[in-house]
Amino acid sequence: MAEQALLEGPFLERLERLSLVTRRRVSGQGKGDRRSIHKGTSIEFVDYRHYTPGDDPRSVDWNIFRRSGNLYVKQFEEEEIVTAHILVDVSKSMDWGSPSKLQFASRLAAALGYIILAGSSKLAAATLSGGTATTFGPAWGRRSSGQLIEFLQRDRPHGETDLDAALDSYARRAAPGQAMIISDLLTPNFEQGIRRLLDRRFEVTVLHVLAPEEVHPPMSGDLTLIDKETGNEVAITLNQEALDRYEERFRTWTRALESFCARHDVVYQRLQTSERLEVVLFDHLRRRGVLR
Amino acid sequence: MNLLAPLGLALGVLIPILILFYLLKVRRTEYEVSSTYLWQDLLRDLAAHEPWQKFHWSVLLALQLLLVAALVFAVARPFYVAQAEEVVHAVLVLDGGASMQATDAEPSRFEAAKRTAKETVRNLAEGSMGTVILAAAQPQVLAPSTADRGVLERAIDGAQVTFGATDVGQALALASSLGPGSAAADGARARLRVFLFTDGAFGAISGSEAEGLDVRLMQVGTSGQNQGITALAARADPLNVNQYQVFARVRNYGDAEYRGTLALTVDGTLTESREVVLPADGAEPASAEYVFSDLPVGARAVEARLNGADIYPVDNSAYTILNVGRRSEILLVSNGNVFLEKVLSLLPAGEVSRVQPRRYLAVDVDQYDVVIFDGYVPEVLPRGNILVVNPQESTVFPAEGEVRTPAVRGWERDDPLLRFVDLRDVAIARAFRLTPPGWMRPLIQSDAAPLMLAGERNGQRVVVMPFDLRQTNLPLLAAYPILMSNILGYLEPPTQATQRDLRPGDAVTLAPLAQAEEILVRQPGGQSQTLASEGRPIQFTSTLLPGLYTVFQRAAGQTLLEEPFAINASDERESDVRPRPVALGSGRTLEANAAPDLVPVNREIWMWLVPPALALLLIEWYWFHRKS
Repeated sequence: MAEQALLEGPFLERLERLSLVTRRRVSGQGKGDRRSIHKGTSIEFVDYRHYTPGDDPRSVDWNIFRRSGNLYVKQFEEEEIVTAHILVDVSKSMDWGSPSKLQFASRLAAALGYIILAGSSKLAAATLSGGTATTFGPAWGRRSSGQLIEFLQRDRPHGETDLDAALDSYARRAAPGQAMIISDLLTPNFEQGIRRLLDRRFEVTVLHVLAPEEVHPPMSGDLTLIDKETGNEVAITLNQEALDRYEERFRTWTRALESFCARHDVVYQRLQTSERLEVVLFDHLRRRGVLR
Repeated sequence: MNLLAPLGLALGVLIPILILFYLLKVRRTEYEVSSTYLWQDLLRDLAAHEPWQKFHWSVLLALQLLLVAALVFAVARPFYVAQAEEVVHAVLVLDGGASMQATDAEPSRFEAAKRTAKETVRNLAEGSMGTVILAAAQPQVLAPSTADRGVLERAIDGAQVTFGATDVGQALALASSLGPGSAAADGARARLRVFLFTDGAFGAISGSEAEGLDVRLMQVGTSGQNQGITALAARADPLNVNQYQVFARVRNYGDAEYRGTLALTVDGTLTESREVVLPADGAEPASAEYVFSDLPVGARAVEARLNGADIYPVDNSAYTILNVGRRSEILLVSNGNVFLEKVLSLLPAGEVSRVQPRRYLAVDVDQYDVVIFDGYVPEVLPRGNILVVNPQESTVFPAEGEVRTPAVRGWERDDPLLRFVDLRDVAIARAFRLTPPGWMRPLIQSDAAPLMLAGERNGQRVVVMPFDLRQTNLPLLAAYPILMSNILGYLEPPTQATQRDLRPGDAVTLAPLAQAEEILVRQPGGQSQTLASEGRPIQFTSTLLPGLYTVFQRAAGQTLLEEPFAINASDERESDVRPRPVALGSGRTLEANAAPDLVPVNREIWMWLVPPALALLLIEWYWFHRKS
């Protein structure tokens, strides 16, 4: 892999200019889109609400009580350090194409990890295969990026995709934050897992990685298609009509993914392994508001 | 279009089986994809829209289906009904007579007949049998019953024309002996049908020989333009016993006047030629006789040749040998008979001695080759050959009285003894009514008793003329010296030089000298044949070519004796080569080259499916490898 090269030279310097955009949920008010201006440990006064028993007495605004006799509690927003989660699908289906989707996903994960660590956020990562998640972190600081790369390279592709189970097990273990799932999603079982993350108050971004050959299959004739992951075989005669039908099926599938994500406030971005990483990071993800 | 074996169509089940095999055996290329997740959905999708999604036409499949369809169709044996000759047992009778050598067909009648015969074989209906018979002096079966057309055609190819007359009647009798029909190749009974390839130039056929036969006449020959030498004979000059005369008869059978020359070659040297003018043939063929005298002294072999381009060259040459062999010893036992004495002095016969009957018993009679008894018959006959003229009462030839003025009713014209002898004007005052023994054949018939008898018993030849030569006009007729010459020729011991009337294929008796080591026979074509001599007479049969043969008896490289003999192919009947209608006795005349009777037959067409099937196979093979 060439992740090591990501952290060198001018590309690294350019990554320094990017940062992750976090979307905060404000308790009881649904989602908010304001961000803390100051980073670090500063406290910002935001609003008042009526005191209810059990509130910390130290948060009562005694000045108002003096003027009006009502108990109001000052609401502060603590500038928490956001934990960003990068979840990479390493099932065998990802180990396909040239470059393979997994290589692409690993480089993307390494670059995003570097951006997060360089932006003083907390980073957690996991590789998902079968129904399990192998975790890394949480980690802070640029120095951890080397370990992240090691982690990403350690896990050889294996197992079948069961994103539902893997995401579920991760959601139960990890503290909520911004989860970026990098996967080809070639499985019917991922919606449940995403819902579980959302339930656990994760903000979810789906980076859908595909090879160009999956979008426009280059083969034709009498074929036996062998599933890289399961070994399943499908005998098919690919003529123009069948290829047209495949592309039709592909469009239906990606539209369904987009609409699912839109309904659940999940950012969805489709990527092709043929695209350059700079374009992905500085163009697509910035336009999606994932990075800035 | 119908099918002989419609059940064969059941093999049509191969077509769906082939398609099934095709579906099963699609050689798919394996291709690894990241996931079949989307593809499986697609398969369901395709299957829902098109149950035969997996089935795709290919050129290979189309070719194979066509091939199978062609084969299934062929197995069902499609046929159409056509008009064709019926299945028969065909007996092909080829006339091998000399007249078939006539050249008015290209290259000869016989070759044209062979061509037509082969065509007939090829046109026989499927399942017919065939037999090939060559009609010659004796019929020869060239190919026994067979359905193999190759065998029949080869037999026809190998047939050889002869130089002799043919007996078509016997060939037809042989054909009818094959029965009313025979088992055809397919087991059914096939009618016997005779195809007779002839020019019709042969004698009548008796009704019994062709009784009930279905005969198709395939006639060859168109013309009768022929002139021929029909007779050539030599005799001693009546005026000079050491001189010979040659007698020749020439005939014109054509319908145009003939002008040409008759050339006589003696011992290889042209000695004389005569102009011949013969009017066009009328009711009887025009003929002319020529007598050549003053032949060179010591002449042996004579060839007469008629020039001119006619269609039958066989009879344009004739050959004869002057009798100069060993002179035989003849004893005349007579009280004096001028007619006998005169004719014996004229004929080139042997040494004649005379004795009166009363002195007969004192003579050593066994040293004589021929004994002529005139008006006397001894009790015991000598060992030599015998001519008995006017036998008186004897126990050897018992007579039942006399016949007064017997009228000549007929004579055996073809017998060598009566060759060229015309007895129409013979008158006889009295003749003995002989009871001929069984071994003698009557040669001249009268209304009451035979007037001449001949026969052979235990190697002894006997001729009897039961009348007195002095009481008949016979010695005054031209026939008399010829008759006497013939009789002496019959009675004198045979050497090849004196064997007359030899025809192609006849056996010639060669009598080797005691000291001869080998005998060499030079044939007319110049070829020679050497035979070892063992002192015994040899039967020489390589005499198919007409012409002059020379026999050399040799010892220690030296020729001891050189004697010629002649083979003649001239034949009055064969020379008349005019194509004639063929009548099968009982008044049935055959129509020549009648159109064949056609009957509806099933013509199968499976063989027409074979070439396209092979072509399909080749295209399929090419296409398969092209794809590979």
